[in-house]
Amino acid sequence: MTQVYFSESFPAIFELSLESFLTVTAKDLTRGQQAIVASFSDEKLAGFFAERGVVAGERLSVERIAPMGDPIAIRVADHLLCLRKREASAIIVRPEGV
Amino acid sequence: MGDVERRLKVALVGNPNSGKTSLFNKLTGLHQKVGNFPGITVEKKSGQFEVEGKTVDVVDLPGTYSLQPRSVDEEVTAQAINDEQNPDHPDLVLMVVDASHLKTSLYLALQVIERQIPAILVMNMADQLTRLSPDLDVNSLSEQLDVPLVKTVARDGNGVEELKRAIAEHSGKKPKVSWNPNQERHITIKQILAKAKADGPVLAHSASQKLDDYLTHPVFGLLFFIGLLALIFQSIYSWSAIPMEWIENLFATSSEWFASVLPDSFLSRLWIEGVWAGLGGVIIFIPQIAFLFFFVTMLEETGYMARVSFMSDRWLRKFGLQGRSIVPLIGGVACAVPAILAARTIPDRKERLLTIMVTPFMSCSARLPVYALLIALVIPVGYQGLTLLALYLLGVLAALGAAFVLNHTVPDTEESHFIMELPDYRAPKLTNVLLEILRKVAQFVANAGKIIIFVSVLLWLGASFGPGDRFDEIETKYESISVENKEQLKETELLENSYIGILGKTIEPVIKPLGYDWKIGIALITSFAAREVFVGTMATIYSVGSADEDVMRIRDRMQLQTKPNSTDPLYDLPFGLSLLVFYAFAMQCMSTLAVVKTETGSWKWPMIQFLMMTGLAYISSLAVYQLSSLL
Repeated sequence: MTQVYFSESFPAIFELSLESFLTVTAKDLTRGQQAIVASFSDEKLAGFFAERGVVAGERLSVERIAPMGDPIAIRVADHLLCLRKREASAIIVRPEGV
Repeated sequence: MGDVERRLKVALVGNPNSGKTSLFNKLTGLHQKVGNFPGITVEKKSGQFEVEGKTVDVVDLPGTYSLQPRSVDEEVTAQAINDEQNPDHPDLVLMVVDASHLKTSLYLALQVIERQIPAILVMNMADQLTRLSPDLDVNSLSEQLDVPLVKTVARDGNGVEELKRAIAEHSGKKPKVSWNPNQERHITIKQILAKAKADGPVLAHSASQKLDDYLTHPVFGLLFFIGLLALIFQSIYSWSAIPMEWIENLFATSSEWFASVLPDSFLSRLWIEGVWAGLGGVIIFIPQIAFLFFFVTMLEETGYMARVSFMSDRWLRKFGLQGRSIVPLIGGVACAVPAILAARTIPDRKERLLTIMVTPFMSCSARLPVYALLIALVIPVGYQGLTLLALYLLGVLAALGAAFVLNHTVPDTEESHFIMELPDYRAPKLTNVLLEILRKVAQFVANAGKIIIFVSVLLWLGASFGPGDRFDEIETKYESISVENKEQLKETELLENSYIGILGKTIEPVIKPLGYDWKIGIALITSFAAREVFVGTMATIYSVGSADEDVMRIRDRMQLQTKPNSTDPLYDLPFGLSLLVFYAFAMQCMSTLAVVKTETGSWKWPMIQFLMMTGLAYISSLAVYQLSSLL
């Protein structure tokens, strides 16, 4: 019983922690850093972003950070979007040239 | 009426910042009117123009990114397009796309075409194409979308005549969808744009980025913003005083003129002292509203407003407000009425509501005459300026504190988002600014004006009549005697015995713990028309003179009053402090309540605001009076 439980759940726990550890979001980028949008962790926000041209495969860069570190302004698709860090954390990205 | 039925109905649909409203202004000129969409407070701009002998009705639907609505504004647009029974459902849609944001703009355009509504693609800001996408094949774009395409530069009026002709010549044909609507839309857009030889992602204007290096800089940006606020504050506060004085004089002169030509009857006094005075009370706000909206619209037009929101969002969020709340809060120092109208730029419902609720705490210019009189009355010379400053700070603290409390009590209907485009900077267009001012003024007069005139008539009736034949008795009494200041003494006694005077005496037990007598009670009630009426009421009660009151003379008269059976002054320091705090916090402005009602769509919020502000005023004044009396 214990063994079954362990063997079944161990890889899942491992994957989960590894994933959250390795996931980079738009919030984690430094100013000027470029990245490619990979996916979104929040479905509702994904809709918001899609309407504004932020979809998987688009290149984005953090252009500006507000005086108190939040919100941030990202250059993406054909415009400059301002968003709070909480919203930026829903955009999962692959950083370029790290 | 059959003619009206056959008129062509056209709707403008597009993203925010697509130049939709500029285009609307160019199409309709002054043939436009503003109102609200039925049942909600979303502003509705509609108008008409003539082309080739036909009259075309145009409605400017709120800017949106898609037809899946995410805010009240966007819902209006979605319903008008989706629902054929909707009164605003158009015969023809003008899909306004920004040539420099083709990729984003087409998302919405594709949705409209998929709904199979006759449409024209209006490529606005087309002058940008030569720079951004010189090879773009507009014919290919038009063919792929199966709609006519017209290039415009709405700000300069280029292409507007061509657009009018295209509207007149449109066959009413529904577009055929040539793509797979189940495919992800951005992939469709990429394919369409590639076929039309549109270039890839566009670089920003470097000038705009340079400007942002300074304007969003933690130090320079802040200094620039403070300087700008000082200018706005100054203009609303002092420049608008000049036209306001003209309006005051105009109403004073015209009232005298009415009084001289009309027979002395109930109806003429109702007209002059009730309705006409109430109308004066509405018109008097127009200069302040115009100045505030001149700046607000300029800041919006140039793209700077978005930067201000970007910079101040973080610290305002702690209080349940957001970046865009800053303009109403600052404007509130001049006058809460235009300031609350300015809160429309806040898309989130709760953040907008909180902004509207706390803005009246900011010390407005109508409080200043009251502060001036009371400070001169009780505060020792040398501390007077400091006291005034403290009162302004008290207003700011109360606003932020109230926002903090409301933030934890008002339920969130939706999660607040702050995803906003920072458009490139551009020069403002004066015609757009002026038309916007005109729309805001018209809306204020139409919405709040009615309520203000009504309450002003009510207050006049209350002050001009008393129960039974008390008024007749006073009249007879003064006819038979002859004393100095006869008219003024009579006025005083009439006010005492009017319904409002009696009300003042009735509420005396309630306001006694705050240190006020029934005379102050009357002033508190009449202050509801406008706070500065306090000074005029005190002038009447102490028989100082007519409406052009002299603060110092009222002060001298009030200083002479003593407490019953004593030589101590009646209006002492504890009384003064208590009343100052009361005026700083209490909601005593029917114009503000009227605007809050029209902006929130119900009496619920103005009532809560009234109770919250006046409740806080009562408790604070009670504490101040009782504590300072002990010392």
